[in-house]
Amino acid sequence: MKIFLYNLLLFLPFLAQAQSTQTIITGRIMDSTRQPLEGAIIEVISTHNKTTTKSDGSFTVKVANIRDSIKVSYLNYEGRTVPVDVKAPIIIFLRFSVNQLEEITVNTGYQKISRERATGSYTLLDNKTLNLQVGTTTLSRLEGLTNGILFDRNSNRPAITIRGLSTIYGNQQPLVIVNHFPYEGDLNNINPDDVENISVLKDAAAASIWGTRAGNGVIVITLKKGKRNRSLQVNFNSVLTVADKPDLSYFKPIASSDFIDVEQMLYSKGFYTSQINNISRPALTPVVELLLKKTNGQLSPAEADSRINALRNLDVRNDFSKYLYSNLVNTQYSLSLQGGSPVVTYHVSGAMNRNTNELKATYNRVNLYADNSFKLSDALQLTTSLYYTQSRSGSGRSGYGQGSFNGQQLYPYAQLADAAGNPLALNVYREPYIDTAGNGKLLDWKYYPLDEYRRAVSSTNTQDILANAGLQYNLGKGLSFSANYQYQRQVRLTETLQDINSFSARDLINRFSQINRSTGVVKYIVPLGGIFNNTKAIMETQNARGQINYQKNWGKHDISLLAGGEIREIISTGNSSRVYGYNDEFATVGAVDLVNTYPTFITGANQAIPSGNAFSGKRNRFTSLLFNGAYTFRSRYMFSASARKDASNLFGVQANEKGVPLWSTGLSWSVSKEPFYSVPWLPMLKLRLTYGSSGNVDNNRSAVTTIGYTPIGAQYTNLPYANVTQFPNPSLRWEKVYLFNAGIDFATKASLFSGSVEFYSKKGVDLFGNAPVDYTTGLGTNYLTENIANMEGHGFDIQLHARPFSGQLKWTPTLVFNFAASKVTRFNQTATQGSAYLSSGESISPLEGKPVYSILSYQWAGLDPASGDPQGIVNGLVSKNYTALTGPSVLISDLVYRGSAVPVYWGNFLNSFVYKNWSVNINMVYKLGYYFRRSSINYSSLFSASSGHSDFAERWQLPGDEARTQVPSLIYPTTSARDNFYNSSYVLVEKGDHIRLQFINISYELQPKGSRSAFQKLQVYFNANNMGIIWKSNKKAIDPDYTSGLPPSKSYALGIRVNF
Amino acid sequence: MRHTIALIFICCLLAVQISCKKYLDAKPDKSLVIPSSVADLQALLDNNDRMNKNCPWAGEGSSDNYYLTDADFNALTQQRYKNIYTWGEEIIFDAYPNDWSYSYDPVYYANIVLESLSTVERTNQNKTVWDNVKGSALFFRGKCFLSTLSLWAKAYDSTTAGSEPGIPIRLSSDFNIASTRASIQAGYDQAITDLKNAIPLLPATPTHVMRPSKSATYALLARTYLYVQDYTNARKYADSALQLNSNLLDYNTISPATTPFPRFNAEVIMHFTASAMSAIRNRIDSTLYNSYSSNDLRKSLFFRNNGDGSFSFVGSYDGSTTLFCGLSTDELYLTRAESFARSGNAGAALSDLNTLLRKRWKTGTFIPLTAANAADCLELVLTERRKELLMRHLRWPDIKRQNAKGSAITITRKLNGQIFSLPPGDNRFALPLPATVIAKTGIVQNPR
Repeated sequence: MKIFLYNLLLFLPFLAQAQSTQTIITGRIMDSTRQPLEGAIIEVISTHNKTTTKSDGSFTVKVANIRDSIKVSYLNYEGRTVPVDVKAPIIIFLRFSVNQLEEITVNTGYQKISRERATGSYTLLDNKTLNLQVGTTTLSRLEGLTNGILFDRNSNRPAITIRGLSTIYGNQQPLVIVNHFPYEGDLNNINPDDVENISVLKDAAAASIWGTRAGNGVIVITLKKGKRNRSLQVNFNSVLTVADKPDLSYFKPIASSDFIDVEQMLYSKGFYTSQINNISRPALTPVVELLLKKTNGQLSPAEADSRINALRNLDVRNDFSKYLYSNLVNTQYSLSLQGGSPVVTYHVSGAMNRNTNELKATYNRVNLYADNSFKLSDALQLTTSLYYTQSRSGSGRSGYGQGSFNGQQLYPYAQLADAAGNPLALNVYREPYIDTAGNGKLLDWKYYPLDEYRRAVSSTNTQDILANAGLQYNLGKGLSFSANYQYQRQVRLTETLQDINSFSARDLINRFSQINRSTGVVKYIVPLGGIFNNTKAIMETQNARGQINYQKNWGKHDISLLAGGEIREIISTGNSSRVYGYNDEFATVGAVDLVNTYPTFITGANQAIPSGNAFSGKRNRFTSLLFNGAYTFRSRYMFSASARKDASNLFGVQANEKGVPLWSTGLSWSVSKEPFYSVPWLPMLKLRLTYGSSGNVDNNRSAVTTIGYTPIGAQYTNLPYANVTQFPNPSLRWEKVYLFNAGIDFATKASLFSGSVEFYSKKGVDLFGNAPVDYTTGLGTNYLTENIANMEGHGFDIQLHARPFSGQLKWTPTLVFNFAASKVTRFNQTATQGSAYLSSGESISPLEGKPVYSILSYQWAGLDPASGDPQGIVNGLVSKNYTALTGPSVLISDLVYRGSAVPVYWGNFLNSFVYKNWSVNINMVYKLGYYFRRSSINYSSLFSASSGHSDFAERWQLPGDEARTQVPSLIYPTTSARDNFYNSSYVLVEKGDHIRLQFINISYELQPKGSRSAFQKLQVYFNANNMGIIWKSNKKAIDPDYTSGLPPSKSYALGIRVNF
Repeated sequence: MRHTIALIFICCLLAVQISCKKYLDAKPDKSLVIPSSVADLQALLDNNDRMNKNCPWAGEGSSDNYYLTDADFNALTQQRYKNIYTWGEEIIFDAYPNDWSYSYDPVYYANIVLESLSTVERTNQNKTVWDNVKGSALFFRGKCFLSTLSLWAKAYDSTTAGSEPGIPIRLSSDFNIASTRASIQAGYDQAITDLKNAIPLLPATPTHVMRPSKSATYALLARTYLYVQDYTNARKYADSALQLNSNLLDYNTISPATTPFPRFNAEVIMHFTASAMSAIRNRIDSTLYNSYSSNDLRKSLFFRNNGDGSFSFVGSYDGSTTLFCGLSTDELYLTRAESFARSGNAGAALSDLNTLLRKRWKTGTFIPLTAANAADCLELVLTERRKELLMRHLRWPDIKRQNAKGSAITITRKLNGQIFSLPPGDNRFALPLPATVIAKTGIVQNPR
């Protein structure tokens, strides 16, 4: 109520000003060196009338009355509000402050430091930048806009890296902080509309503040809060996003006709004989069944051939596209209220998201957020916040290339529906067998892809509560302390119901059915009904932190100290259960015997009914001590230092080995504040330096052998049994990473150009990697974590803003340029097989002097002109001995290095145009200087797993073809070594360089004058996302970011944002 | 007031740090344990996936119980399968896990158990379990050494066994100790020592045939002594085992089916299985198939007509398509019979042989076998041994040891018009060690 009254008071002046007369005033705006500022914005407080200054800094504006005030703002200068003077021109001086219009503080999660004071390396993203994109999750809005962050789509490498990797084996994800503490829940929970800003901490200062988990950088998400002495503000935002149906032609499977030719060839060679005779009755493809019928005389040769040829023009991708894929549709709504009195601040928001993806999988989310602060006394302040998320995701349809049966990929001529669109069956078992098995007493034993997603559905419900309370007590004399406590509980329930009509349920019931041959009575060992799985996972975290702050300023000296301690506990418990014979209508279940084995229908082999019951309980604890201090002299020289010690309840480790001390130190110098500094065109110049160390322990490190019990008893005996989970490896040392950062912040006169250039270098010592182990030792692994390598890396993070036009049409381009180079300086492993390092840059490269992630390949010597066989080099000679080319005798030194597997140069180019109420933002993202290995035909996989590639059509067939193609000839029998050689050879490496049009954002903003309008500001915006590649180096129609899966479709969003 | 608050706060911080040690001693995962009780160690040995399943199969794959047609061979997708079939180059154990790791993983568990057990006091309360754990660990270790010797070492010959390279004998869980190849003699000695030490510790019959027992240890010792051509001991231990369990299935009670024999049937003393390539059981050597009389029930129970004149093997004692390679009473009758025959006691040998075969033939059709002399009798025993124990991973060591005693068994493969043959005494009877192990340890490779 008080708040309401208070807000009413704030509104009163607006109601009073409408009838006033108008007066014209003039003035000039200058900076502290008396240089006129062109393009500064003058806003009359009462009428919202606006004007901008001319080249001499002068302006003229109408004001409502002589008690009016004007607000002056100018990019990178501190704004001022001054009362008008109708008698004389006003001269207003603005003070330079590079971040005045952006967020001025960096939130490290422990403290907010003004950017001027900061010595470390940070990237800040304000709310406005985050709103340029419309993704449902917060982190997705960082993509393509954040200096120093690389988004990687290779699922084998971490999705987000900050300045490249600092650890090879440890957790490679950056640490994400929400408000004050590490966020342990699902990051998708955080609604981007609730985010005020994001600070990305990139250097050693980050690690020394946040400890071991921060070696990969820290992303600090600050949620919106109410502000003191602000009237009620209501914001509403709504967005509708629609994406194109995915283009399945991006997949490059073998053509149906080619595949059928291969099947006919294999059939004639007797390849399918063992499959035909297999007593497990795995399905044969329709073509093989037809060929078999032809052989057995069940079909005339003409009839069989014509049926086979009818399949040649089919392409299962068309069916998938037609029947299973659709447009993605996402809707978002959010509403927030915020404001504050001198005593209380509040921010309350609610949001709703409803997403349906291209395969009809749903994701619905509701967020509720409340943040309050109360000034309990002059010295004591209480803050509370509560963040509640409820989400529900539902399974969709099975997409192209997902799932396989009997280890076989779906044949390319499969049909999902008949001409009328009715679901067609795919066989998992041989059709002639299931047609007669059980004499009709069994359930239908076929799989219907167009029906299954309706019959087997799963949904996940997540509830998450994040509650936070903090006390700040000001003890006076610069001393204050604060205590924060956070509780988070995430409950995730997953339900999977395969009803009686689903293939999975029918299949299991049939496999355990027993038919009495004389009476025909069926005995169901697995009861008739659905299979219902329930999984519950609960995560509870508690964080508490106490912190003493000391801030003192005397004369030229300014000191700021922080010391604190922190404890954290994460408890995860989970259980899952499965019932058989479930009937959803009556919620009834059947009883099953999970202990004894029963003969299965097809082979008669005895099996037990699979159990789905499991329990787990985990408890991780961490304690930390931290210190951070900064000393500033004459507000020009800054020195900072921080240190931290972390410890956790690592199992089987002595207490004194549980901790890792980390430290960093930094220097900065604001050159432009020196009295001698007089460079009028460069009014702001600041130099920064930091150096520090971070480390990483292997969490599987142990001083003793530990074992882990498996959740379910042994298969036949039902006895509890265990595995060895950890073994002592005394030779293992910590990974240590030393980080150096040097930065320059600058702004030219009137901020025509501003930005930062940062150089960093890092040195990793004793990095973990997988080293081959003599598995005669019986450890159950052939690779062991060892300190295998040292590395060195360096790079630049450059961010440049410009304001070439600042008149009616404003154009502000921002260029982010990141360069990161790394090299291995020492590699401990010798006598290692080359074949272990042919991955697509997922493991640390063994070549000294080459990047940490490199693309290595077998040497390629072209195709044999006589046979089309792939050829390599053995001992300097062209060879077709694939055993020698791919076997253990191929050492690392025999591989060819092509280049880095991760981009060496990347960044974005964002262009913002503002004209009157219109603004347009166009963002381009580039990644350069790297390579990837494309996939091609692998004949062994084609024969054994029906996994083909369209390169088949390009294969060598006749002498002379070697001039036009590098795809080896088809041979039968083939050897897997021949295919492995070709698929890991140099010839398949492509340059990854590309430029992508990430998004275009167009918005129209309406700010009605006067107070009668229902709203203060209305913005309508349109966003086109994933607009595709503008330029790429490879000529193969491969998006280098998506070498295996589908690139995201173009999406279009229309939104409205209203402030009341 | 303010100072009091500050003081309280500092005290709290200190208290947190002091109590840290205890706070951090909480167990991070309920399922994690530092093995400290006999129950924990028993749980390691009850890890059937590691201890009982996944026995090596490359021996059976290299043997003569089956054949592949050109089409079958060409259709093999793995080069290593082709190399196993043709005793080819080193690409046999190139992938991981493989037969070598399956052989040594249980040894590691056994060593962990034996080392941990030394810290657990044997008390009146736990002595039965304590003994069972120790005996089981010794049994598994001995069993693995024996099967490893039978694949990667040449046949035992008492004159050369002390100098020929055998296998690495790992008696510690410390993986920093480098592997070296001990002599064949040392390998067999260690296996026999482990097994003999296990006997007094194990129960006569186990609670479950997935667990070791006295009878299983006797049975394995009988097999071991057969391999080192010590027929007195082979007979002695086969006899001891049969005294504890002499059950034989009457095949007249078994009806033909896709997999006719139940898992854990009366003949099984201890259960082990191997996951071989599926092609291994698809075509049984036709001479072998034809050697079964039509009244021999094994002919209909062991085999299934493929419809093209060839027969596949379905007689696994695992009750599935997975091949059984455990210990069973039928093997013991044959081992005892062979020991009798080789020591000139044809009568006792024939008695054992006829006891077994009576249960294998159609009721009323079996005519007891007779032999003119011990040599003929031995011939009969060896023939029946092959017919009874095919696809049990026993043929490869049987060929090796019989050739060492003068049998001239040459294995021949005809493929794509080419003849491959493996004559007696060939180097290739000792399989190649994994190349990665050779590269890492520098131990000597078997010549091919």
